[in-house]
Formats: sequence, C-alpha cells, structure tokens
Amino acid sequence: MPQRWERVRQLGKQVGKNIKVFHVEKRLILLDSIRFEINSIKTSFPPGTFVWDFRLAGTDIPFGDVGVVPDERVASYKWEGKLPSRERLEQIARQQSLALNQRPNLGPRLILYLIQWGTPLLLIAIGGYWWWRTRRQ
Amino acid sequence: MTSAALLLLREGKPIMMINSLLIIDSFLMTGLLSIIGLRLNGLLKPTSEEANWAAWGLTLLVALAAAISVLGRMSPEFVLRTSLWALHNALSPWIWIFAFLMTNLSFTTAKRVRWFHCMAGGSLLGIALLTTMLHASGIKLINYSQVYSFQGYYRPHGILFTPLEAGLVALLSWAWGLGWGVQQGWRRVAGLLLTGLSTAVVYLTFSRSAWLGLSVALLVGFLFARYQKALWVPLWVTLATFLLCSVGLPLGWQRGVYAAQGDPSVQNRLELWMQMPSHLIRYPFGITEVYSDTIEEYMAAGSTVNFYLDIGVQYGILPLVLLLGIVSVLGWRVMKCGKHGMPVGLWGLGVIATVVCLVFMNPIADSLAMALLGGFWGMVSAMEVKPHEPPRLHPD
Repeated sequence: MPQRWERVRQLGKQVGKNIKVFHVEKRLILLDSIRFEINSIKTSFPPGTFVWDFRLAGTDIPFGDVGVVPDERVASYKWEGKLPSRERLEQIARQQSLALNQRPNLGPRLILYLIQWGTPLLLIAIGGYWWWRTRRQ
Repeated sequence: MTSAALLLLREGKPIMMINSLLIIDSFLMTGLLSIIGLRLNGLLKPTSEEANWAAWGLTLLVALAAAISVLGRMSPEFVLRTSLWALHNALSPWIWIFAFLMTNLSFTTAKRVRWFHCMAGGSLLGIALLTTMLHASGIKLINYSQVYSFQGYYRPHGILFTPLEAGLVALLSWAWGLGWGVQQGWRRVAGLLLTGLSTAVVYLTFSRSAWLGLSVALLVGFLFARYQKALWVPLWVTLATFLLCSVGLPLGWQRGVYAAQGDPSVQNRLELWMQMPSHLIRYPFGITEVYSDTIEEYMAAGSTVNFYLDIGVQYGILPLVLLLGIVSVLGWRVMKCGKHGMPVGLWGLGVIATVVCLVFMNPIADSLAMALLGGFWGMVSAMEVKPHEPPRLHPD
C-alpha cells in the first residue's frame, strides 16, 4: 500500500485494569467495533512539526505503548503537509535505526568513557587528597 | 558493551547478580557521595585557589550538560544527530553532585565564582518560572513531544522536561523568594513577588509531589516564623496565592482527590517501593538499563519514581545509605538553624520542600532541574553551620 494507510480505531470500553510493576499496565477492553479510517490523520499539523511515525509497527502495539516498538519500526521526520509513502517510511526508519545503533569509533568512545568515569574519578581523587591533607593538619 | 557478571543461584533461581561495570558505577557514586559527606562534616578543606579552580571546572561541566539538555528539548534532531546526546548521557548521572560541590565550594571560599553562580542560578530559575507561566497561558516556546494533561487542562512545564520538574524548580525559587522577602528595600518587594509567582507555578503544574513538598515546608516555615517574625509575610503570601489559585482553578484539587481514589500512578509507586528490600538484596550494586542483559534485568532497572530509591536501584545499597545520610544531615542543620532565626533556615525551607518532593519523583532525566537542585542544596549546605556563632555568609 504505497499511498494508502488505514488508521484502525478499536472502539470499546475498559472493563478492568490490572496494575503490574515497573509501569506495565494490563487493561482489559471489551471490543464493540473496529473503524477503519482511510488515509486519515487525527489532526493536521503545522508544517515543520516533528512527527514520530509508528505506521510500520502495525496496529498491534501492546497496550498502545509506543515505547516497546523496536527502533527499526519507527521513523521520525518533519511534517511537510502529507504522509510519506510506506516505502519512503521504511527507508527513513532503516537509515535512522542504522545511525542510532552505529557504535561510535574507538576514539570518540574512549573520550566518552573518559568523561563518564574519568571526571568522577578525578573528583574523588582530589577529594581524597584534600581529606588526607586535612587529617594530617 | 561486554562485561563480566557473577550470578548467585539458589535452587536454580537467581538470588544475586553482580556485574563488573555496575560495580564501577556503584563505586564512583559511593565515592562522590562520600566526598559530599566529608565536605558537609568539615573534613575536606581546600585552599581558596584550589576551591576556585575546582568550582570553575565543575561549573563548566554542569553548564555543558544543562545546556545540551535544554537544546535537546528545543532541537532534538540536532542533538541526536551530533554526539552531544552521548556527551550529555555520559555526564548526566553525576550532574547534581557536581552542582552540589560546585556551589558548596564557591559559597565558602571562591567569591567570584559565587557571584557567577548567583547570577546564573537566579536567571535560570527566572527563565524556568517565566516559560512555565507562558506555557500555562498557551504560549509555547518549545515544540513539546509530550503533552501532560488532566481532565482537559494542559499542565505547563516551560523549558523543563515535565510538570514534575517545573514544580520542583518552582520550590527552589519559592525559597529564594522567602530569603529575599524577609530583607529590606527592593529585595523585599522582589522577594514577595517571587514567592507569589513561584507558589502560583507550583499550583499550576498540578504536581502533587511539589504540592506536598510546599505544604511540609510551609508548616516548618510557620514553626520558624516564631523565631523570625519577618517570615510571616512571605508565608502568608504563599498561602494567599495558593488559595487564590485554588479558587480560580479548582480542578487541581480534583487531581489531589484522585490520588486517594485509586490513581494507578500512586498505587504503582507504592507497589514498587515495597519490592525495594528484595531488589537491593538481589542487586547489591544496582542495575541499570544500559548494562542489563536480560529482559528481567531490564524490567528491574525501571524507575521507582522516587529519587532516593532510584539511587538504590541503579547504584546499590551503599550509595542509598550515603544519600539518606546526606539528606538527614542537611535537614537536621536546616531545622537547627531555622530555630535560631538564621537565614539558612529560610533558604533551607527550599531543601525541605524538595527533599519531600523527591520522594514521589525523580528528575534525573532533566539535567537543568538536577543542576539547579544540586546547586541549591550545595549553596544551603555552605551557609552557617554553627548556630551560636554570628552568620558567616549568606547569599546576596
């Protein structure tokens, strides 16, 4: 479906909720009907709006939690007035996923570790020296 | 990243998991919190020059992380595309500690850095308040990726990450308002205005954790007002502003009532807190999402929506104990000095408010909020420590 997209709305009412640990909610919803809305978006965005597009994830996102969708199934782009085609979306998602998962080269990685672990270690060393000197005095 | 891990099993079930990389993080957090503890107890005495250099160095790191955090909110694409986000993530776990030590050092020994910290901190608090008020009135300076609402009301947060952080930062500016509100001249007027504005922001965010923090600090403030009469006025301004906001927008109280009527977010927190003892036994050096190898570990690394317990979850038992010790020492000092009518008591009301607020939230994702929080705690910790001696220093 290159230019066709169906937004599926599951219409129903919640009949139970079971709270699980660590922000996982399980909801029991009694399904009344399903409505397919062809090529429809809920609102029109102003041009330039930053959009996260989850169409590649399909309609089976568990509990509607977009956080569980793998990176390669999510595309982000700036809104230009119309929805990009599915092929274009897959291309964007693939590029973005590659860029996101690309491990930095050894040099930058070492610098990051140096910042992450080196700065607190340096501060601890300085504090240790001050403590040692204060005790001696 | 590969790492060595030790898994202790009992009857085939894992009872304790120790990861070598987690030990490094846990060790570093323990070391940094120990430095704060030693500094609070007067066991670290750098020379003026050393303190000056250290304060400037820490200021640079804190400013860098806070700037990237704000930039990431305004232009997420740019920050993700460049390596700035990786740099931010490398610094963000330590930012509040760096900010704490930065102001603690500058307020005791380094005068020029102290002036810079007052100006930068005050300006940032002002911008945070102003943008939150603008957001409340419908003017958005940032294209927010998430919307926080309650029954049709959009909870404002300005340049901060969520309304929770906006409420937390407003508690700091509220304390600043109290500190100025008891002085004379233009500072009194500005202080009372700041007190009122901050209270209004706390209300408008509908952040129940900030409301609770403000309530507890207000009660302690009334206790302190018996020893410092000038404090009555800013406290009444706070109360009057909160009442006015309640009349103008009573919806906020419905959110409070909702907490007692089975709000899932409240029940979720309570359930997570009850699991902490067994969690700490299983992960004595903590567990973070980055180092988790299994889905079970990943789930265990989730936030408990409690700043103190999250330190326990992510860094283990020892950092948790040290953090609770630091907070207790700070709180005890504020109470002691407040009962002697000293300025540190007034400013310390901000510490009490935020300490309570952090029981129900964790602002670690917002480096700006963490920098302001750590900086404020560090500033208060550097004020008078001996109630019977004349005041050594208080911020202008």
